[in-house]
Amino acid sequence: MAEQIVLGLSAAALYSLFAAGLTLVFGVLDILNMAHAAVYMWGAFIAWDAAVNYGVPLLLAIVLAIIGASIIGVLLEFLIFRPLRKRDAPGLMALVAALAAGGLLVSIAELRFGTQIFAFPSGDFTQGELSIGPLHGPTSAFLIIGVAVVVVGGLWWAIVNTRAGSALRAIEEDAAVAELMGIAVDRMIAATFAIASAMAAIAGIAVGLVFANISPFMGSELEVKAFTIIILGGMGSVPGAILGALAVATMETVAVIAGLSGYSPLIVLLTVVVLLMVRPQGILGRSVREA
Amino acid sequence: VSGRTDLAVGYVSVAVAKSTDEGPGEWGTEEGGVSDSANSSRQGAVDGRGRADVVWRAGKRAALGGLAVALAVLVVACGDDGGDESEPAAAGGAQDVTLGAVLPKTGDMALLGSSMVQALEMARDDMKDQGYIPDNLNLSWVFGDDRADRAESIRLYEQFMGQDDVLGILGPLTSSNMESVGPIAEKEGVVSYGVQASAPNIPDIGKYVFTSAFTSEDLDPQLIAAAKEAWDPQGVAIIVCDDDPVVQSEYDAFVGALKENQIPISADEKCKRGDLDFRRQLTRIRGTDFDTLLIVALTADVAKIARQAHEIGLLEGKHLMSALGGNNPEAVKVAPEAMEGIINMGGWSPVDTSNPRSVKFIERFTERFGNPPTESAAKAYDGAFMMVEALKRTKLTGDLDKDRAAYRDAFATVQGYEGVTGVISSDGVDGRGVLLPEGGGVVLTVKDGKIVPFEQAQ
Repeated sequence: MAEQIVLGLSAAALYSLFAAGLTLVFGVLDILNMAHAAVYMWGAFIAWDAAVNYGVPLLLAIVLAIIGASIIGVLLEFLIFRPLRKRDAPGLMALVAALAAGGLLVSIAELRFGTQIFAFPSGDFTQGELSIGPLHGPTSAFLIIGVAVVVVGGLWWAIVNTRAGSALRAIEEDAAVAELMGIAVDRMIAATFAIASAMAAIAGIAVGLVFANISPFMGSELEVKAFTIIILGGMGSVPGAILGALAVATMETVAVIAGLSGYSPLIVLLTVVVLLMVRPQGILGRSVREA
Repeated sequence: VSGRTDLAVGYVSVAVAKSTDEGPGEWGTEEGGVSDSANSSRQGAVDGRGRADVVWRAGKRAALGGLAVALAVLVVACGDDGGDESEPAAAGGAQDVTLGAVLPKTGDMALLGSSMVQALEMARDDMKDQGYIPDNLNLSWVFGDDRADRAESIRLYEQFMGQDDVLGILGPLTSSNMESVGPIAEKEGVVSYGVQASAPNIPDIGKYVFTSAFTSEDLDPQLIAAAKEAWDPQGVAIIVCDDDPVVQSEYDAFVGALKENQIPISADEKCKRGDLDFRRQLTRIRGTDFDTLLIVALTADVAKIARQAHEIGLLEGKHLMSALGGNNPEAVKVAPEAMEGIINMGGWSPVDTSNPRSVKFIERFTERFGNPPTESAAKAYDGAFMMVEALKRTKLTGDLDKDRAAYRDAFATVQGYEGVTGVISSDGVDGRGVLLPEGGGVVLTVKDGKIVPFEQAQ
């Protein structure tokens, strides 16, 4: 049981790393960044390519991948989201443009790397088991939990406690008013994309290291889960993403423990439907008010 | 298809490929093998012939991505071309015939599909080099990337049947997609040939639907028998990603064979195709009394599950079996330590030395593409030749409906075709549409990172 708890927490940690970035961008721009999964995939590929094909030490490769993914995120903002925003384009247009950009990024990865599945060579830290107090489980699971606590927890803390976080919340409330108050809105939005993309890259690298699953199409599985998570937790809310990730991972784990692993997607989706009937804005989402 | 304008559009990778080297395995590196309209135009301008006998149709998502770079495509196309994209009339007297292929060159089944596309490319070139196509036939191929997506398979089938007037189509890869397109092909009277569609119900869809895959009932009892002889399993833990008809039929066959051999099933965990984390199910298995882990999943998932099982120490002192994956060199690459010693059934051995055609195919394929062929690639290579072999036996009249019916009859009567996978014969005009090589499957294992027959490794 202790091992299943650790594995469930590890799954929640991974989901929250991916979903927090997605919901962060949604909070600021009110659009789903459909290219987020492609950035996640590129984060994994940059690290893998640097480490395996160019012999870069793994830690340095991870840093390069995080920087690379951040640059991709900022480019998406500069080339797609910002021009559309400046023209007051409908949100649907930005969503479709992001979808196209995601498709393009996947296609470029297919050209560059092929369509096979790649994996980091097995490393010592992905093997073996660890006990911390009553908890026992694979070392890699503890590693993912630790990274997520630092990164997602750090993001949440920064949003609540720093000036930049206050500025971000002001933009979420009303970008025009925030600009009048002297906040550099465009710069803050670019920074948001950089942070969200860096988090996606960290999730991608973790999947590559632990689950041996680097491929141009690796984003599709987690993307669907992330949508469920941010709807469940409340769209635009980072703590909501954490809570949603914990809820989904808990349901999946309980399903496995109960011998119902084949039904876990059904259980998760049914829960989301029921919750949305009771609370359409999600667990921590704010209700939509009429202007 | 003389005079038909090459309308394939939007395969986004091509626009990018202009600025990169086209690696081995890409369509469009040689005469007549072009991958899209932009490439077609480019080829026409370069070699002055402008003839395209292969068209690559795009997947929906790739086409969407293509919209984003449509301008770039346009620039590339215009910059290189300036000529007419339409094809010249066929050589006088030759009968125009079009065959199709629908395979996942990209997407989550590309692990198998991409090697099949490579094999088709090789088959097409070999047919030319060997003069395999009679002079009285002006053969064109249309190819489509369905990304293993059912809707895309259907769309491509409808396009090939309705616009390209194909006589027959090779693919799609998966049984689930064959179940979707088979009834459509049957209704239109077009041969649908799923070379690797191994679900037992495929030939029952209709008389125009064919397969060259051994079914799970053919192969899996052999695997259990081999395990029983080698280590006599006392408890088998199963993990099955059962949301796929092939996997479900494999699972049913395995459970039947285990029961028949009175081997206890100690655990029966479910997963989903494409899942990331299987460790929760594997941890649950750890608490059971088993000496053999049986992974029943599609190839890519087998590699992931095996690796995760290895990394949590589940495989220590245990045996590993799988229905699929253990015969795929790319899957072995993903999890070399975990896959060492796995036993797996194959419909063809990638180290077959008994068939000189197979040996030559493996050598040439590996040399050309830099990777060894998979069983799917061998099946696709033979499949392409079978399509043309049947065509050679068809008396064409120029009436499409009659020709399609005649082609189906010819397909159903192919006997003794000597292919890479063995001597292939149809099971008869009125029988089910199954074209299998003589003999049966082979039990394979991984030894020192290489796939070898289990008999040799023991």
